[in-house]
Amino acid sequence: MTADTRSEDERRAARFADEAVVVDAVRAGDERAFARLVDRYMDPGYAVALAILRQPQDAEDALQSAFIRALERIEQLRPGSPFGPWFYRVLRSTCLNLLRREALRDHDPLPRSASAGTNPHRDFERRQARETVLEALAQLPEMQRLAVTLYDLEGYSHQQVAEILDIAEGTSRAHVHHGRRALRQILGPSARSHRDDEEDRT
Amino acid sequence: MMKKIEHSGRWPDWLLSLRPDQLTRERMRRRIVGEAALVLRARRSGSWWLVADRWTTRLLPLAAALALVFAGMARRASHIATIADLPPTVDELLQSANPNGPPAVLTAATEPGLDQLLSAAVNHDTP
Repeated sequence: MTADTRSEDERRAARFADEAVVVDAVRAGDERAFARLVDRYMDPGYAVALAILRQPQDAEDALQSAFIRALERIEQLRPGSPFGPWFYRVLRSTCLNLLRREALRDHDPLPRSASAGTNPHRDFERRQARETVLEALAQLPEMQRLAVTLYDLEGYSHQQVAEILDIAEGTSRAHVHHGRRALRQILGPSARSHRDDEEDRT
Repeated sequence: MMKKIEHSGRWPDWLLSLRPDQLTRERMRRRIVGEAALVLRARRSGSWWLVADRWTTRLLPLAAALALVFAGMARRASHIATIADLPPTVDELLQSANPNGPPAVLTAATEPGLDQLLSAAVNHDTP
C-alpha cells in the first residue's frame, strides 16, 4: 500500500468517525460508507439474529436481508436519529418474518462456519459453547432474550432497548432483570456481564 | 449529539460464542457489500433517469417558447428576402417624357451627367 492510499484511507476513516456522517454518505450512495456500517454492525447483528433464529445459516441470511432492507429504506431514518436501534428493529422484523413464513430450510448438521475452520478442536469447543448459550436463550421468552442480548451487547440504555422492541422503558428493565436472572440459573456465573453491577445498582 | 461509529469492543463473556468467526465474517461481508453495491448502482442509474426526466419536464415549455420565437424570426427573414429578390414591377417604372420612348427605370439612382444628356438629346433629335 502506498503512502498516498494509506493517507487517503486515514482521511476517510477520520471523516467516517461519526455515525451520522456515515449515514449521510450512504444516503448519497457511497458504497464505502455502507461497508463501514456493515463492519460496525455485522458481529452484534449476527449474534442478535442467532439469538432469535438459532441457526447460523439463517442468521447469515437474515442479517444480509436486514442490511439490504436498511439500505433500501435509509431515507426513512430521520436525520440525526442513530442508525443502530433502527437497524436492530429492521433486523428483528426480518428475523421474525423469516420465522413466521416458515422459510427455514433443512439445515446441514454441520454449519459452514464450523466446518471451514482451521482448528477442529477449537471449532468444536466453540460450537459447544454456542449451543449451550443458544439453548439457554431459547428458554427465555423472545422479548427477554432480545432485551438482555441488546443490553449487554450494545450497551444500550433501557430507553433504546424499549424503542427497538417497541415496549415501555420499565418493561425493558424488567425483561433484562428477569432474563439475566434466568440465564444465571442456566449458565451459572458466566452469564455475568460488565453491566451487571450497573444493573444491580438501579 | 455525535455518536461514534465504533463498537465498544466489550463483548460479555457469555455472548462471545455467538460472535461470528473470521471466515463467516468475511463471507457475510462479501455477500452483503456485493449486494449493496448492486442496489446502489441501480439507484444511481435510476436517479439519472429521474433527473433527466425532471429536467425535461421543466425545460419543455421553455424549449417550446424558444422554438416559436425562432420559427417567427425565420419566417420574417424569409419574407424580407422574398421582397428583396422580386424584380421591379410595372408601377416602379416611370413613363418617359417621350410617349413613344422606352420607359425610364425609377431605380436609376444616379442622375445622368451633362455628356449623357447631350448625347441623348442629339440621338433623340435624329430621325
